[in-house]
Amino acid sequence: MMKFDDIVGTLHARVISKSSTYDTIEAESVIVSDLMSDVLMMEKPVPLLVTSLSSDQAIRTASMVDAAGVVIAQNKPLPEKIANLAEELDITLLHSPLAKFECCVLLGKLMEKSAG
Amino acid sequence: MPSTKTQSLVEPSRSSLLTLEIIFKLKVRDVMTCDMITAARTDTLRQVQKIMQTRQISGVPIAEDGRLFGLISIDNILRALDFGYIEDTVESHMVRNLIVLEDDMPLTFAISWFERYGFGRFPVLNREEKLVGIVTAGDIMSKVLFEMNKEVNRIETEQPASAAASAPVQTTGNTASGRYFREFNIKKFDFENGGSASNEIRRVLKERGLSPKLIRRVAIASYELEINMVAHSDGGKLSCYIGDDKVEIIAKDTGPGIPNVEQAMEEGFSTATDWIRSLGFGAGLGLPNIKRASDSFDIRSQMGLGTMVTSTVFLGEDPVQQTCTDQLALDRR
Repeated sequence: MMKFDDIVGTLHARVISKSSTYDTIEAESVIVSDLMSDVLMMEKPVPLLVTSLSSDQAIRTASMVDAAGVVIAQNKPLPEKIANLAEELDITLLHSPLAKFECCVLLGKLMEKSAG
Repeated sequence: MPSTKTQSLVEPSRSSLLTLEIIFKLKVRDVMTCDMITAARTDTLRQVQKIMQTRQISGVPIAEDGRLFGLISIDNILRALDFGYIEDTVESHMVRNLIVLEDDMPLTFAISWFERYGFGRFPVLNREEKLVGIVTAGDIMSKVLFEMNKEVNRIETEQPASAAASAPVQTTGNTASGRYFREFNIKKFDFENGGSASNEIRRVLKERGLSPKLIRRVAIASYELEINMVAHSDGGKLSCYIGDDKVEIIAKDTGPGIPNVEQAMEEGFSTATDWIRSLGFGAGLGLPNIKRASDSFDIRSQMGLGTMVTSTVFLGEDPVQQTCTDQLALDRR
């Protein structure tokens, strides 16, 4: 289980938008993909999406699968209105300078650590 | 933003036309009561009063062998009670100069006569001048309401199948419960707003308190359909119909059509441009994803005319089994 504050610290991320569940949600799984149809294949809710797709569709896709947060990796430039959309859809949006692979490794370690 | 029309099953203008159509097509014989109670001229007013009491009616035609002689109304009975001649025979006190309707007259004629004369009922004669029925204002009201209800049921039944071809305009108010229909315009290449219609559909389903799993399935189908329309079609309409037992998402575009539907359904087959791929779509997973999320899936396409896809999710049991994919998912369980 990972809290958003821990994810932010681990991924050296900047918080662009905080959802209403930012402090209470604990992510127990992550999906990493730049292909939104891959994300939409998941029938189970996906708490966290890590992607280098820096577009509104990453936020909209996350919303469709009930994700609580999106990490846009590799310091990709953010579209101008993406923060507004994340707020509107109540999604936590994080912006990380790390590559997706590094994000995966660090999140895996964080999960192991939090599992004790 | 895509223009968002809220719509009811029947447009207001169409609804009043429907009422008029129903009234115009009905004749007096369609609304009259045939199984009527009559009395004979030799019966007493007391006997007629008892008939009125037991049958809960306010007027009794006086007829013998189908020939109409007059009518006793509740006013005649009250007068007889007041003036003490309730034991008299009907013949001496019945109303003789009757206004009658003919059974093949249009209903509109009958309605105008109720307005003109202010009577509570009209006896109905056939062409042979035989008494064949009686009409009250209540009979007309019941029949018109019955016919309207039948017509509305017919429209509601046809609604999902016709993909709202006529796009009935929806007003707000029934998002929380009951049947619901909403239609959205989807524009070609409008990636900025692609997904907003599906988000609205998802919001309505959440408002209804449906299970998160079911909402997710509908949302996925709707979102993929919406993005498909944005990316591949000339634009069209995305509609959501919520019935008693199902949610139906219908995407109907105006072209260009899919050359080979079977091929388009294959996982991985795509005609997407690099631009579409750069937006996170176009890997040939959209249609298979929609089919996977649906309990029932239908696609029809004709080159030059367009494509119509219907995705249905039933509200009862959840028969679609989870198909876990082998993505990079870090799940500690």
